[in-house]
Amino acid sequence: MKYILGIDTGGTNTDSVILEKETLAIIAHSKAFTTHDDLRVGIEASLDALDFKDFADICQVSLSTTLATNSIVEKRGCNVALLLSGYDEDIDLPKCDCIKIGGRLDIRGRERLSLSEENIRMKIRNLPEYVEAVAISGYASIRNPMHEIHIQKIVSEETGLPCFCAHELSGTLGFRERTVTAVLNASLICIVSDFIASAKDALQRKGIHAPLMIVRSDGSLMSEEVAKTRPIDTILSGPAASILGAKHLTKIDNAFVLDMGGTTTDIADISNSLITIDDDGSEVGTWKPRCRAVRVSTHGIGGDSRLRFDYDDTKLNITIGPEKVTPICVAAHDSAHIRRKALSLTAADAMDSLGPDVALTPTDFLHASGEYTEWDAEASTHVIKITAERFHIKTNRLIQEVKNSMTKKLTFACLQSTANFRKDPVNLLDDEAAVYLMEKAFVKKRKEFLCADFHLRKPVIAVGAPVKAWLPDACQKMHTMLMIPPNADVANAIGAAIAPVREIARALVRPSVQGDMFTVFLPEERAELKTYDEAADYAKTKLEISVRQRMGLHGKSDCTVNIEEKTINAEIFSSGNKYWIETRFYAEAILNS
Amino acid sequence: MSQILGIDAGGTTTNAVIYDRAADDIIWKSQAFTTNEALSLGILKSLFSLPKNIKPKIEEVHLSTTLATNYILENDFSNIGLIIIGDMIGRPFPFKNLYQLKCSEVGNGKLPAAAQADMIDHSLISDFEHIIVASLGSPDPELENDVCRVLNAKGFPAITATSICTSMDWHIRISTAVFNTGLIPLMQDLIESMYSVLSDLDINAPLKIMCGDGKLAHPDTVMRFPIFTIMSGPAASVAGGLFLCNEDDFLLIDMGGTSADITRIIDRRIQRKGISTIRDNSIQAESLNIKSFPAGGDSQIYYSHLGQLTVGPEKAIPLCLAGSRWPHLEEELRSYHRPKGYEMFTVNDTDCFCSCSTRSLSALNQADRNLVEEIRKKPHSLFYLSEKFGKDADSLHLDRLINLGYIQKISFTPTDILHILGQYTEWDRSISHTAANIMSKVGDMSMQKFLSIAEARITDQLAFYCMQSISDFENHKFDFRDSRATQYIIDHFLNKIDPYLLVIFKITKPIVAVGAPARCWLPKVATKLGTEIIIPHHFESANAVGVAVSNSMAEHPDVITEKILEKNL
Repeated sequence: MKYILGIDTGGTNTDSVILEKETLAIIAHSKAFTTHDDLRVGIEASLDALDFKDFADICQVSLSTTLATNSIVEKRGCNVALLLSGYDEDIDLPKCDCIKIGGRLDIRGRERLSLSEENIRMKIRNLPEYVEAVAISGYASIRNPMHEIHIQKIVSEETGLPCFCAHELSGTLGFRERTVTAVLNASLICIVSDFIASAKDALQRKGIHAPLMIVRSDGSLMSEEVAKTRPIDTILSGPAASILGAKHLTKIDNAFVLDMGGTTTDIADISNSLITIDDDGSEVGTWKPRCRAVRVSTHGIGGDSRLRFDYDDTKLNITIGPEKVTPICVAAHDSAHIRRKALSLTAADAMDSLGPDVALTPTDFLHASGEYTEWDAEASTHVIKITAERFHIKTNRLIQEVKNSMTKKLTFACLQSTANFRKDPVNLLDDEAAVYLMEKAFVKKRKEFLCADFHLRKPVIAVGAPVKAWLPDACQKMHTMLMIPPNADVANAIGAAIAPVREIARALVRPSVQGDMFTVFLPEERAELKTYDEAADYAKTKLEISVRQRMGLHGKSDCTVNIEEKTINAEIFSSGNKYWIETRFYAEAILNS
Repeated sequence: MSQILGIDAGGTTTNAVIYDRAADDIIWKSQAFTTNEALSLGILKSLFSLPKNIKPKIEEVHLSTTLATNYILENDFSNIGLIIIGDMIGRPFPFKNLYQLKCSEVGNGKLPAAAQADMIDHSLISDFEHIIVASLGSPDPELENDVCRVLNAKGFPAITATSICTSMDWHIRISTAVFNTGLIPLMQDLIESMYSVLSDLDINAPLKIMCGDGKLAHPDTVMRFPIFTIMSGPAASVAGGLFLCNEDDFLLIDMGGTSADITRIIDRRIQRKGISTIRDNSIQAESLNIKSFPAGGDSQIYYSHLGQLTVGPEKAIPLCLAGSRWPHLEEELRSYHRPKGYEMFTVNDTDCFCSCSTRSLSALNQADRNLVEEIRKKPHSLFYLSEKFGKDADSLHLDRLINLGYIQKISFTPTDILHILGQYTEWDRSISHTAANIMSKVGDMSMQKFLSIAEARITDQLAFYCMQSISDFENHKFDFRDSRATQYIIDHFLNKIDPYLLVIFKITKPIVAVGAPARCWLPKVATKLGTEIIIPHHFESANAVGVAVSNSMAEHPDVITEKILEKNL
């Protein structure tokens, strides 16, 4: 019997699951806390908690994680030097040392100004000591990567630093975005390397020697070697894994997948059994790196979101999140000191006296209502009681108000997601007038003139620990079915375990500038050929080689390659004539089972 | 002796009713077109059929009129000069004849205001029929009087702003004074001609005039403060709507030719406002909290440059109306067409143009002058003009001439649709039909499909305005059209074609519809908004009914003061 081990290291929990390889049946699963100071400890604890012994029979280990996302959002990550070529204007970039090094290509990738090797060597030798990784980005490098490749060669000759070229990370036009991607990618290298090393260490101690794969943001797997060259591809690894897991657990073709964790709620879309993927990247923090990723709509609402209460014209106002804190029940459970303090709080005491990051959270309310029993319910109940006293309302009423607020906030999150799944997303939640209209679904005044009703047209598959408590009301409000599959709390680890190995690549054939030739744009090169057929054949051949090569990097050579092509024509409105603009080629390699 | 004659002289029609107080009912009504040149003529026409036996029983005559509102909207008050004392900062006025006395710098060696006034160049102010002397900041009657005395001594017709309005907000004070002064001669004319109309008809009853807050005022009050009558038309409709239905809570919609006026009524009460707004200017005059939207019978129906059939907010003279006056327009629409494959951005296939002013064309270039002169001879269709002048439709720049106020657009409107459907029969149905035919060909659809889409757009737009009005009544400052986010939500409600989301909005109280086109459009709007429609008896004369049944009297103040209003009427 062969097994697959899936591990998900999230911001709060590290989950493990063992699947039987042939049937994908769930054999064992477990949960432990993520230990941020040493990830290995958490992974080991989670493996130890598995009710499973045959670790030697594990033939594949798949990891997913939200570490990369969190590090971008929290602006951690290693110190990056950016070598910029062929562009003089300032770009808004993540934190890095930006060094301009000359050279220039035009938009079609033809050299206009060559590189000065001496100059570049000197600048690289003078890089500050603290630099841990180097990113290289040149204007029009996806049309012709020769400058970036040249600079990379010099960097590796001069330093031993990990070094990443922008053209390898993103194949789409957009110099600024590509540069941002390169910088973020470099800044993640330490985090991803550290994570892989910790996991390997933990696995070795358990006697697991199977190859290690990592879930990419688009839900496919990559080898650890590839992950170390493209750490940016892990930015939405966690959400991608949980969507895959949810889909696997329910076998539903059209649904919203909602993953509610401690910090955030992620919502994704499955249409006709396909998960919606963004080719040009997903928003993470304030950046939108260019890499294929599942389209998720992320909202700052989770079980551990901070709850704030205040009075606004005699009306109790409850704010949920977006920041995460330690729930009082958890803090009291972990520390006798905090427990004592919590139980002795009175309505007159300041609410932050338990510590800056300890506060009432939705999780506390679940303990007070008896729906949760894991942590210190007594501490939660007491603090909720005195909070109610402070606002002169009954405790039950406060619990009900929090419940209503959570329902509303989750409903709003789902409505926002529907707007995010469109081609041109719209921000509803920052628009006062839109919020006014959405609020009309919740008003109950006698003299109200306008009311709204929102119907989600797909069922919601919910995974993550707190969904059982909070989602039923929200789904009822949105007139949709709620599905919480068994083992929903480890859906992400299951998703990691079942993620497929897959590679895709794209090419473009266009008329050359002079119009007498055909130009082929490939991920790694650009070529000119005499006839269209030659150009198309060249594109297809190169694409197949490219995806097979990349499958090889994952250690998978037995694969099938499918190539699709799409012709883009322009139609002249008045005459109805069509003109050929370009042909796009998509290659996909999938593992033979 | 217990009957009241109520007359509403609106922008398009003049309605008259007789209200029998004892029976608490409307016992006679009539309608005539408003004659904008002389309002009293339309009033006279509306009373032709008044039965002889009723006349002696008439106890009072109540009148409401849009005269003041329309005059403010359409005139620049260039006959009034304004002398401002002090440094003006901030919001500009919509009047151009300002003369500024910088007496705020008196302390810096400047002359006192009166001395400065003494030195004003006479030629600058000698053409004005009225001169208003206004202090900035807090009202300063003494300072104004000083300046006024100097000017009066020289024979100029100067009055002080504070003698008209004492609002603490100088902008409101001055706007109110200027508008009020400009309106006085008009209101005097109207009242005098009303008296002669009534005496011609042997009606011997006192005249009362409706104000914007729904109260009646003595003619003397209105002649002194004609500004009180702005917004009295909508107030009359609201009073009528309230009288004609028994609901406690409802949304009252008065649909007319130019606008749809919406009021929220809770417990049969309406919010009042102490400050009215007209032409983006605040005026110290009470009015009812009524929201007015540009959705009437004369909103233009056209294809946007994205190819979407769109209604308004631009207005046009309905083709049926223009066609009944200028029958050659239909022939022009039939004979001159858009060249194949030609795309237009500023004009539409069924546009025709007529002249709307006789002022000098000296400010225009030769090409524009020729164009306006041609249109002054008689109105023409777009493609007639395009061919006549050998230019493509967009490069005629007709939209610019409209903005400059030389010409007016005639085009396809909801009123044309009602003629085609046979629900209206007043004007020329044939040209409406011809235009609809052109529009359906442009949109590449059958006439029936075109009409049903156009009807749906009109309904959607009115439903949208109902929602907008409710947000306005709740004192929010949102304009739902301004944000992509609200459009996303409202589109999902109106169009209902999204794989992810369905949105349903409902109005929880009935819609009460009054005004002539109400019966045609508002039942569909109510269905869309999931609510009941009530179209009361006499709905088309609701404004005159409202005037007739009104009985609370406004006081006669010496000067317009700021008032702290009770919250509801």
